[in-house]
Amino acid sequence: MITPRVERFAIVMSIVLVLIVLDMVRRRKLRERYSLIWLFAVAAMTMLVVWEKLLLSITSLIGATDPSSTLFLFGILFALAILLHLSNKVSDFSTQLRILAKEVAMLNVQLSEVRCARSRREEETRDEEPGLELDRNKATEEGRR
Amino acid sequence: MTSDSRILVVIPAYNEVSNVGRVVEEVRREAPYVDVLVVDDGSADATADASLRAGAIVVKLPFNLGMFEAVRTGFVYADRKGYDIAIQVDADGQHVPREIGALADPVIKEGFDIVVGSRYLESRGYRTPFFRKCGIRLFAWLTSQVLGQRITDTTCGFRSYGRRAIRMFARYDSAEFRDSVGLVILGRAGLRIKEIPVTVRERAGGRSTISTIKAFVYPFDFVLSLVAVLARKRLAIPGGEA
Repeated sequence: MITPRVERFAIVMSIVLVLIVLDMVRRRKLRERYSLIWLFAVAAMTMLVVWEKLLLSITSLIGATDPSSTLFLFGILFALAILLHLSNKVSDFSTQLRILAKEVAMLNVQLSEVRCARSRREEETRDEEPGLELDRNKATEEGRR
Repeated sequence: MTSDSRILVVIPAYNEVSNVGRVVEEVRREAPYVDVLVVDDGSADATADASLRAGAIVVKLPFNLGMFEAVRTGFVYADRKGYDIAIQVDADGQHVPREIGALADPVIKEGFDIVVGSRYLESRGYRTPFFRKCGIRLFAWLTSQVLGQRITDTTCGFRSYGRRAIRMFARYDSAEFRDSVGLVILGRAGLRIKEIPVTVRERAGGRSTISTIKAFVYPFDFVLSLVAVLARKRLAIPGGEA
């Protein structure tokens, strides 16, 4: 059974957690979108603890004998949901990171190619003044490739 | 080799300073008609410098992405620069650059999209440790079943790819393109695959990149990826310019 003592403890814990989450949002350590998941989880848990009838009916619905196991179940479910969400995010990030890394590498190689072409062009214009137009065209064409 | 196809040899290299220079030089000597691209996969040593000195184009990844992503970076380069063929060669000197022509030929002359070098199609004295051989047999068998075509070696990194295959690799960003699962994806998309026998030397120096943990996880990873690929829709072959 949920004794008043347990209820008080749960409420205090919830308030502490809410304060921590809000403070993290305030200090920009947690994005609003992510804080919502946590706040929702805390709110749902608190509701289960305070609204005894709801807890008891869910307990009998899922066939548990002790209401506290229902609380544990929901706690674990929320934790799992959040973990799954984070795994999904990490997968997205690693794909994005991989693409970015490749693009950075490609940009670097293109940059050095452009630099090479330009220094070659400068050398050519310095070396041979006649036929200047022709050489320049050739070099820009190479730079483009 | 008679053709004016533009060929890019892609060499993925991770901390291969002791081998990569030699490999680049050998490729350029044996196949003077190709451009050589070394993809430095975030090496801590002087792999990039050694490759540049040996005359390769170098793409340097900012951190280690793994062998396969390094190869794919090379394909992105090949795609954007309009190469007709990309040939993957290992940086450790295990592959024989003289065979590059034989690997490119079926793409140029017979219209194949992927030519896979196989260590087991013909017995050429390459010895594989027992457990690894069992694994390779199993992967090869599974791949053959799915593709409806006999494949004997799915893990050999000596392969050539035509334009359509290059585009697939360069433009689909899926981590499941590795090794044999990559073959399955490409085969299902309708690309034509051919296997030819190749010689594989013993490593010249340094250590193989395959660790014990990876060797243990690999089969599970393979089967899971295979199931995931089969559960998805076939990919369309992208066309046109990059």
